[in-house]
Formats: sequence, structure tokens, C-alpha cells
Amino acid sequence: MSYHSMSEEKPVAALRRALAAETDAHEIYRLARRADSVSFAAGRFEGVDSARETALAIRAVRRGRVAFAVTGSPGRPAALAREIADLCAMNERRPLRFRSNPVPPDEALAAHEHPALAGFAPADLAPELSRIVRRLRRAVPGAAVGIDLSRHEERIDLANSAGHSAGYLRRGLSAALKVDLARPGDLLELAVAREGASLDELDLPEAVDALAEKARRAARPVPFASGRMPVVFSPQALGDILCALEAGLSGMALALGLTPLKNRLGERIVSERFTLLEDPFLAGSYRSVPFDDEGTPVARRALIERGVLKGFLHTVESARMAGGEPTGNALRMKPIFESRDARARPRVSRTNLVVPPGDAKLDDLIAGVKDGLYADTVIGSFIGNVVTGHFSGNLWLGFRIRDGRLDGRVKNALITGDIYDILGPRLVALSRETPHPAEQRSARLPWCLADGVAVSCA
Amino acid sequence: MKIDTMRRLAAKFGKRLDEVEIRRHETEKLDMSFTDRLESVQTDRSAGFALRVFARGVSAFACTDDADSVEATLASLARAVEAAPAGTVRLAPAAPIRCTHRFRPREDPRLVPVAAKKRLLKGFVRRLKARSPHVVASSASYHESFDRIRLVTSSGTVASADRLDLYAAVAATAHRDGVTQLDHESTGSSVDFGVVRGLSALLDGTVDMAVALTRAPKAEAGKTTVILDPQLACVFVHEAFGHTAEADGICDSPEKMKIMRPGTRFGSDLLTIFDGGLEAGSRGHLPFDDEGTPGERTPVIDRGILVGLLHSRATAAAMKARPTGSARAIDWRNPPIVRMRCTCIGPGPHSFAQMLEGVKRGLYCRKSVGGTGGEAFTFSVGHAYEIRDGRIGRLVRDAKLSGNLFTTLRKIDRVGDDFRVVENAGGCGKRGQFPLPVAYGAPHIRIRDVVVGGA
Repeated sequence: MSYHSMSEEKPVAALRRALAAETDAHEIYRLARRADSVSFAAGRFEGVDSARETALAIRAVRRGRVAFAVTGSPGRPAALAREIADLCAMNERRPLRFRSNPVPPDEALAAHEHPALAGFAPADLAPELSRIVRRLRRAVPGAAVGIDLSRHEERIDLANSAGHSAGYLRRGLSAALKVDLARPGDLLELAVAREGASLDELDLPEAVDALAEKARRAARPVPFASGRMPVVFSPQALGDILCALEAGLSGMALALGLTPLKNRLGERIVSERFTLLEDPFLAGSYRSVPFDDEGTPVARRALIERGVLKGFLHTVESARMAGGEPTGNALRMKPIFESRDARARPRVSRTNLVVPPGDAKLDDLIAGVKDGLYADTVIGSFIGNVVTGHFSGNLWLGFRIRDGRLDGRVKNALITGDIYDILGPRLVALSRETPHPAEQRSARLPWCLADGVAVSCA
Repeated sequence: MKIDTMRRLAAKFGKRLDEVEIRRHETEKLDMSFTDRLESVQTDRSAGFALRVFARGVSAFACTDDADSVEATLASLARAVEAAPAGTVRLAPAAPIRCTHRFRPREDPRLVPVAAKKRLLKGFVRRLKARSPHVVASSASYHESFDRIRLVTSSGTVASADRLDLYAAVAATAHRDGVTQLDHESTGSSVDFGVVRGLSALLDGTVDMAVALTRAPKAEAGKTTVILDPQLACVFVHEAFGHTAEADGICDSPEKMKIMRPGTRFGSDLLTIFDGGLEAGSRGHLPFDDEGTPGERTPVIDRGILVGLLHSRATAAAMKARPTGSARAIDWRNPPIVRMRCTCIGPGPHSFAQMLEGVKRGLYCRKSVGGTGGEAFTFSVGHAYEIRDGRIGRLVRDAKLSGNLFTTLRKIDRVGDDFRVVENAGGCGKRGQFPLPVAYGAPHIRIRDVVVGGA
């Protein structure tokens, strides 16, 4: 694919001319989204959804003052540009400078296009999904089962008055398989989520087996006592509590003096067993980008290397405030939910995180725990004052470990801790295994055993 | 697109389908945020059509911002449901409504110049920062959204609403001796910009609490008796039962339907829960939902017994109930799903002194930072005070509470006589639709044996 600049389109060109007349500098970010999905609920075909939307997010500078505006259409460009110029006057001076960044080569821009998905219609797969649903119903008798399959396509274009002009098209599939098992006094909701560029990659039959295995293990709740204990975190659970580390690595938290990692670059902050890499190019991940949402180039790099802090996540603004360089970590993400939103301002966001696996076999990690907890899924850790490193997450799915074996489901438990403590002196080992390649695409993590973790139970 | 055109299209496609909904939704938003180092003022305008059809037990949804493509999109949806395997989605009957809800502001924020709003918020930031040398960051934010909604259905509903939603929040972050803590206040309304000015009276207290929390010990982890202030009790009811009462999480599971059957006891006789939304001025005010069902006060729990759930037309049909005006879509890009409006714990008979009686060791918990729902729910506490031998004691920080749907509600043993409606910033999130404006109401409540995550 050779890149076609949105500035060649008449409406956008007219808007850019109008902005150039009314302001001193400008940036236009356009997100054109198509999403089609098909859903089954309670084992039956439920319906289809289709969404189409294009939004333009404009940042403009006039006499040193910055304005932000979002619109669905560049119609009436002169009026829109005047309105944005008036909005600039409302803001304080802010030294935002747009950059003319190097544009990645076409093959990098095309890396996530997946042409085979261009004509893909999830509704056409209803018969095949119906077979998957029947398989899931047989595998988990008595459960209400469902599946959602979506195809999403996003075209992102960015152009600014410094001369930057680039865009890319991304397509992907996502699937969620769900199981609801309800008994008096016990509601169990389980799900497996997959991302990929083809149905084969999603590997839905394997997802059925994985979900059935979880349901089988979770059938029997067991009593559990509060205390400090060894906890084996699944990749998903580890990903949830890592929000406290991500908050500390934020360049904006650094610039505002809120992170405990301030002045600690080059110092050991966690165990030397722990390395955290950022990789913006991982195949199949929603967060993979050829450049960030300000046009800043992205690169693979180490954020933490053998426990030593190597870098922070910066936007253009946070870098200026903190006295550094932008690192390609400005994304327009909708809060809480994993999707892009042109209406969100570019904020500090990581792309994909990778924790290299360790040496320990997962079976050995679990076998070595006499009395402890296996945390499969933790939710809500991001709520609270997490920039300090302190987190508290609800155990959505977890299992007692007794004498080295998973031994029944633990309910009504909170896991609380300091992430620098959990990944620091309390970190025992990382597994050599990693999860199915279609799961946790944007956070490739191993299993993790930490000792002395605080678990509070009802 | 004019209403008459929408009606013509709904009628045209309604001849071959069971139901057609055409919802035009136009939004103008203003978002402002200020810290002592950063500020932004952002506007957002969008308009589009949410199109939904039902036939042969199947639903299909599409959205488009192109008025010229509405008819073709409806045709495409019609073909999709006609070609799909038959399903089991049905809609409960609903009398069509002809309704125009007009916006009646107390103080219309659109008449307050942006410059004046900016001065107000920046003034908040300066005052927060100046209050104490321990304040390392202060912020003030403001959001307003004016929505014009036009809804037409093939069964005859023609409804229009002009709705405002606004909220504002202030926060102070204090740092002392290696400990960072924050406190916040927020407010909201659907009619009155004046509530934003009201934050001025709360600024000093916000700073003082953030600073005090840096010296406070961490809350002890364990199981204890807690008293929740109305603000926290609101989040509690929203997470502990509100989401569970949304019928779209129940109607697909025959087993869940048995568990959530009206007549089942969930709490003591003291406990009443309802979902309001009739209060003009509240962020949760909803004269009609996005399927055209009139808003109402929906009883959910009455004296501890489940008496109802929150329903859309589809969930009502599935569970042989009636729609409760609870089908809401955050904007034109999304279909309506079952949501809350103004979820409340009703008032009880107990004074605050009676709450403290008999509590040997406990926690008085105030304000909320957010929570998550499910059988096991959780909510973060803004700050808390130890209770020792029936008396309020020292301030503690970083408490997070967790409970269980089947047990925690039964352990509510005091319900206060001080009910109030709480209007906060932000909103509710579900299936990607965030933040949906909601409100809450509650008095103080006391709960035994709550799990506290802390030190």
C-alpha cells in the first residue's frame, strides 16, 4: 500500500488552509472507524452490530495559546477555524510545538492492515460460531454461554503544520467467549478474550477448552483465611496489578512530581529478576502502532532492565515539562475500555508491554507452594491512589493452593500491596511459560510467584 | 433529517420488520481541565443516527453520521435480520409515547462565557495550591454536554428531549515525608451551573484532608463493622446491587433468573433500594429512555425482599416483566442497554449516634474513589476514621472495601434517617459505554463484617 495523505482530500485541505489563515500552527488527527460484530447469548444467536464513524480532533496554536476541538466533519472550514482561534484565546500560553517527524516506511505503516480481513463479515460466520457455542455448552453443562466476535477497522491519519503527514490502516478480529454459571449463593462469570488477524489465530476451539477447564476448577468454592502468603499471579492478574507500575512510569506523573520513581533513573527499583520492555510492533495487538498519536516515532526499549529503571513514558508535553524527549507514548485511548477515541486528548499511554519469561516451570511454581493462592483474574486494581504504587484488587477468579495443588475456588478476597514490594523483595520467580499467543496481546507476561502478599477475605 | 422523514422511514421498514428505532442524537460538549501547570479547553460536536431493527427474534444495530445513508443502512439491517438464523429476542409491548421534554435551566451554562468558567476554575486551582505548602498538585475540571435527542419508532413513538449534563471536580494532592495522598470534591446537575460555584465552599476542606492523610496511618486490613457516609453508601448500592439488578445480566441464564426471582430475600427489613430518575435537576433525570419507555421510580428491594429489576423491552419480554425505562445509550454510536438512573437506598430510622452504638472496633468510611460490581464487589474509600468503643477515632488512609452480593446486604443492620441525593462527577461504565450520567441517593448505613483491604 502506498500512503495517501488525507491532506489531498478537498475537505481536509480546505480545513487546513482555513486553520493556517486563523492560527499559527495546527494538527489534525482523524480516526475513521468501522466495527462489525455478531453475538450469541444464552447459546442462541442474538444479533449483529455495525458502527461507522469518522472524527477529526484538532489542536491549534495561536499566539502561543493552544486549543482543542473535535468535530465529525470538516464542513464549514472557515467557521470552524475561526471558532478554534477564539478557543485559543481562552487558554493560557503553552509552548506546544508540532514536529515534522520521520514517517515510517510503507511496510511499517501497512504492518497491521491484514488485507484478508477487508471483506470479512462476522455475520457470515454465524453457522461456525453456532458450532463453537454448542461445543461450549457441551463442555460446560448447565451454563449460559455466549460469544461475541468483532471485526474492527481503523484508519488513522495525522497531519500538522510542521509538515508531518502520515497515516495507517489497522484491521483486526476480537472474540470474547463467556460462561455464566449460577447456583444459589454463587454466581460465576468467566470469560476468555482473544485478538488476532484471522479466525485461525483466535483458535476458538482451544479457547473453549481453556474456559471449560477454568469452569471445572472453579466448581467448588472453598474456605480461605486472610493473611500474608505466597501468590501465583496468572499473566492476566499480573497485568491488572501492573497498572500501579504503569502509573509510576508515566512521564506526566514524573513532570508533576507525583511518582515515587522521581530521581531514580538508573537505580534498582524492583528485583533484578524483573525486566519490563515496551514493544510497539507486536503482531496482533490493538496497541501496536507505527507512530504515536502525535506522530512521534516509536521504538522497542527497556523500561526496567534487571530491576533497574531505564526510562519513562512521555508525550510531547510531559517530555517538555520533565525536561526530556518524547518517547512515542501519546495515545488517544478511551478511559477504562481498550479502544481508541479521537475525542480523548493524547495522554501518556504505553503501547505493548513484555516481561521476558523466567526459568521456572509453572507446575513447579505451584508445586512449591504449601499454602497460598493462585490469582487467575484480579479486577479494579486501577481504582485509588495507584501512582504511589499501592493497589488493591478484587479477586474475580482465584484458587486455593494447598500442598502444591490447586484445590478449589477462593471467593470474596482482596489482594493488596505495593507493586514495588511485590516485584521487589517479594518476587520469587517468573515462569518460563507464557499464555496463548492470542490472549493478552498488549501485555505479554509470564506467571509470577510472589511471597508474603496480603490477602483479605470475608 | 426532519422528524417526518424519520417517521416515514420507520413506517416503511416497520412494514416488514417487528420494530424499527431511529434515534438522532446531537451533542455539543465542553471539557475544561486545569492544574497549576497545565490547562485545556476542548469542544466536541457530533451528530449521528442510531438505527436498530428487530425481526425473527434477532436484533441488528448500526450507527452512522451520514443522514444521507440512513435509508440504505436501514435496508441493510433489514436484510441482515431477514437472512440471519432465527433467534429468540422479543420485545415487551410498550405504549407509544408522543412527548417533548424541554430543557428548563436554573442557570444555563451555555449563557456563562467560557472565559468566566475558566476564571472560576483557575481560581479554584490557585486557592487549592495556596492553602498549604504540602500541596504538590491541584486540579479543577469541568464538563458540560448538551444533547438533542429525537426518537421515532415504527410502533408510533415520537419523542424529543433536550438534555443537559454538567459536572465539576476539584482535587488536591499533598506530599509529606514520602507519602502522597489526595482528596477531592465534585458536583453535578442537569439544570444548574450554580452548583459549580458551590465547590468554592469545599476547597479548604479538600486541602486540609489531603494534608492530614499524609500523616494518617494505613487502615488495618481485616473484617470489621463499617459505617458508610451517604456518598460512599451511594457507590456501595450502585456496585453492590445496582449492576446486579440490570436484567440484561440475568435474562440469558435460567439459573440466574431463579436466583434473582422476585420474592427472594437479600437483606434485612431495614433495606429498601430503588432506581429513581424523576427528579428534575439530577444527573440521573430521565423523562423517557432510549426505547421510548417513560421514566419511573423502579422499586428493586422492599424491606429486604427483591421486588423488581431494571428492564429494557427485550429483557422484560424474556423475563415476563414490564419495561422500566432503563434502556439507555450513551450516544448515537451505541445501542441502548440496561442502565441505572438514580440508584438509592431509602431512608431508615437510625440517627448517626445510633450507628455508633455498640461498635467496639470499626471504621467510619467517607467518600468514594470508585468501585467495581459483580457477586464480589469492591469500592475504594476516600478516607476513614477508626471507631473504638462507639467513638470516632483517628484518621486512616488507603482503605478498600469488598463485599458479596449474597451476604453483605444481609449484614446492613442500621439505616440512617439522613437520606440525601448525591451528584458526583464522572459516570457509570458498562460494555464500553462510559461515562454515562447517573446519580445516587442514600443515608448513612452500617454494615457488619466487611472485608477491608489496607495495610
